Amino acid sequence: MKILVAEDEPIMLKIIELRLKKDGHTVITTDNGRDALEHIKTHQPDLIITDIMMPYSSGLEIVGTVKLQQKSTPIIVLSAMGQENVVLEAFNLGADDYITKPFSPNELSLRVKRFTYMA
Amino acid sequence: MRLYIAGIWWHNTSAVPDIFIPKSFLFESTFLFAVAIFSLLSFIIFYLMRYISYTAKRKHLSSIYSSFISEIILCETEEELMQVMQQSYIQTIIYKWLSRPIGKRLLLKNLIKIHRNMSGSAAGNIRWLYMHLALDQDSVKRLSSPKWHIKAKAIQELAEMKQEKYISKIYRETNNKNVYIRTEAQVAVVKLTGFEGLRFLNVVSQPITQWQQLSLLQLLSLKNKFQWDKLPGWLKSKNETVVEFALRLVEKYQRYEFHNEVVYCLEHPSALIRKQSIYTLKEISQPHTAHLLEHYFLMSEKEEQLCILEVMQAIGTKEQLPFLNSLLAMEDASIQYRTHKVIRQISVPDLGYDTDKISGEAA
Amino acid sequence: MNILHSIESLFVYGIFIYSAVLICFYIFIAVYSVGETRQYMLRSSFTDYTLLASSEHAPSLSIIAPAYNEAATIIDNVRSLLSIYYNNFEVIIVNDGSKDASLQKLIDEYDLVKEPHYFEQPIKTKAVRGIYKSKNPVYKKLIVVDKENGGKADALNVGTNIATNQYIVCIDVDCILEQDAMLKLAKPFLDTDNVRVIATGGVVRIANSCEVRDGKIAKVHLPKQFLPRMQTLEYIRAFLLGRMAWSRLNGLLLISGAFGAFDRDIVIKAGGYDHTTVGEDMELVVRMRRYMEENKIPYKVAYIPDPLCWTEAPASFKILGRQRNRWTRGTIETLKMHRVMFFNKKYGVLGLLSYPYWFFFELLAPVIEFLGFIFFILMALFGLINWSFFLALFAFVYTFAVLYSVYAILIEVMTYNQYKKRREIFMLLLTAIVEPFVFHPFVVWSAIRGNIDLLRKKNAWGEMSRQGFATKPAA
Repeated sequence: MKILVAEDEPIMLKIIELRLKKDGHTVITTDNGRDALEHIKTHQPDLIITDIMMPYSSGLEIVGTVKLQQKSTPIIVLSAMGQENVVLEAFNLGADDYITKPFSPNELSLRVKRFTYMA
Repeated sequence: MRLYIAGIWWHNTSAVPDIFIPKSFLFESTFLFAVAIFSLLSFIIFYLMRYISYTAKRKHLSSIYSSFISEIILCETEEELMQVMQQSYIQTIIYKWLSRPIGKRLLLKNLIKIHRNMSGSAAGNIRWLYMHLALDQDSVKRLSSPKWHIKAKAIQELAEMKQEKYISKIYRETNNKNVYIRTEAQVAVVKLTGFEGLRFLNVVSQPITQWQQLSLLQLLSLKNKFQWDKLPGWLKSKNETVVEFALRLVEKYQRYEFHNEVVYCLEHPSALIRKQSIYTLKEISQPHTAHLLEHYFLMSEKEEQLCILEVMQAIGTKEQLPFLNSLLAMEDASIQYRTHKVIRQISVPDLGYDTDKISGEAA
Repeated sequence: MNILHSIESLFVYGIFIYSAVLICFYIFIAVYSVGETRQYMLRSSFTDYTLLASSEHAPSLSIIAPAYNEAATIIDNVRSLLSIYYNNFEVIIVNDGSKDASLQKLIDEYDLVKEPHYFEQPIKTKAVRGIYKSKNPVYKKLIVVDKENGGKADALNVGTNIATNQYIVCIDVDCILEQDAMLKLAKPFLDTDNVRVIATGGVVRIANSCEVRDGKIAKVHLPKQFLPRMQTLEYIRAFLLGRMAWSRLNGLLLISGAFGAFDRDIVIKAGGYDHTTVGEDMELVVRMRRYMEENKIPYKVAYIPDPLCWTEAPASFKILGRQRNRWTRGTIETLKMHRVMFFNKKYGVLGLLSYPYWFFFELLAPVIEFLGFIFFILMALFGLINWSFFLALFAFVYTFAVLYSVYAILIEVMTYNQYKKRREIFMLLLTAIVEPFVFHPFVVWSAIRGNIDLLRKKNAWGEMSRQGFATKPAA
């Protein structure tokens, strides 16, 4: 599966990338919202994992933009923001899953697997 | 900045001012300033050179640390961890960089940052690495530093890495005069022992800043074992910030059993606490709470009145309408405006929640 | 003759004391600010600012950006405001009766629709034509207000009325903010136990020649043009030394109109921005402080030195002159309105130190300097100058000025170090050497023009347009 990961902290990005590669996925990474939106257009990933607080465009904007274009691409939001209103907003905009940091990479891998079965 | 007062001075020159500024003084100071300029200049250049080599090193280190840490994090067994550690680039890190302050500091910083974002075995692996490299010894050494920022950072590291054996040493600092040391120590004891760590509230005499209250609440949301027996004591503490924090705890965890104690706080001499009590009552409201606030409304100040109206919007029922209608006679424009808002809210029964908040979210 | 002589020596002594006090102030500021800066840097080094983004109890912010004829850049600017790192906030763009397509552009880009509006109006303002919100839930934090033209102060007041949050953040819409600007700006409001923080001021840095991508600073460069470079040095001195020292004394009188956060409650109680002065940013801070002092509520005006806000500085003498002219008028008007505080011990540090400092060394300095210069020319014409003494004095003052600038550069290098290249630092040093001859006289002259304009009561408003860059670095 082709997965786009958008996260602005380089080490976190690396960890997620390695973990997903271990599961045999192809991973595209970016550290900001603008490039993420571009990659989504050019690479057509099967799944998107995005942080919320990122330069240029927030993760919520990515969720909203992708879902508005009638894309069925599943999106997992991965953020340190755990407030109820943010989580609700993410789901309202069409996010398929929400993981709050601190998170476990193994759990992330399993959640990704769920979407593999669906696809 | 209008530094160049030259013009003012020029004017002096006519009046033979040698009397109060001897020329020699001027020459000497000019010379002194010039020397100072050149020494600052050379220092700037020296500093920049060091900075450039430092950033180059840091960049290099960041990239190798990033692979190092991510490899460690994804290990599944202890053997795997040991295997990863045997790799030559990691051995180079250990021998070449960890003996130098810059290498050690940067690794610690990254470990702390990543640990904050990780849970489960990933977090466990970071702690394993921390211990394996004996970085805890380093933190402990700095714990007794006389410099506040070094000490505070050491406390932060030990707590983040769950080093429970140092709890008593850290606990001693929870009432330290230095706000940063005591803040870190308080966060640390809660991080290490959860709700039980809050026992420092029994004795703390220094104020707990708003920021600190936020940090503690945030930490507590991750824990789930509570003992509420000490709470009534905190609500009566002499330290006003402890009372405020206790009210926030009641609010966050909706402890209905403390309704009476919170009502008692409505008459606290501190305005901040009175305000917080009103907000807390919103979360633990009982059928008679709104009525109680009505009664309290008339004897409070405007700021609290506005809070009460805000809370009424959430907990008020049709029973409050006569009272609210009577408020419309008040002259204050903002009270009138808010009262109207509450009345509208209460009169439309199918919107039993805060329309302000929802209208934005529902779309 | 005797009387004349004593008048002259009185005058000379007066000027001497004035200058000596001023020099002492500079030395004091240089030394006093460093401790505070160091403390701040150390504290930041182990503060996890993301708490403010992830806590449910973080202070709520309403970011207010007045816009007047900004169609060219408004979309980018709003996008960058919406992507700021924070959770509990709203962005209020106040279209101050723009004559260009600003509003239409916003409506098109963000799918705005007019909403029925019903809000409190504690501050009197010009009429609001409409409030717009986006149909797209992604932009639910955006509120666009269309109102009749009334100037910057009026636009900010409308924003304040509409704001529903605890704190308002006033910014120039053309400013470029760092991602974490709000996290840092909001923190001082929480760093307190019983003293109420009524406002936080931030640093404004100069964006000329910096690489900007999609409304974000991608790479910092020292301005290549002459005037912006001069102003860069001026801003470094003012923000890193002056403001820092004043904030440590809790005597800050000015928060840049381009970037500052205020307690909405207190703003309203103090009466909001005053649209009759051209110095509305300074005037508001002074009035808020006065309100707190008169009601005897313990309070603080905080300041953070991180470079979080970048703005384009005027690059031509004409525009720079107009800006300084306006600042001068703003300062004089503000100080005049609040003259009751002058050496009034009822107002504490404010009355005994801040106000007199501003009066003597910000307001009077250019006047004295200018008169001194004229006097000097006359003396020179009549051959009354003791040239050797003059040269000694001149060298003394000049080296002191350069030293102060070099010291500021040192502090910049040791703290935020925005200009990392050695060449850029050398350029800054060169700037410090030239500044007293070229830039400074022009600034003084513009201030004098401001004085003259004010005397003539020519308020030079014309159409009440907002003239941007209300960023005052002087302190």
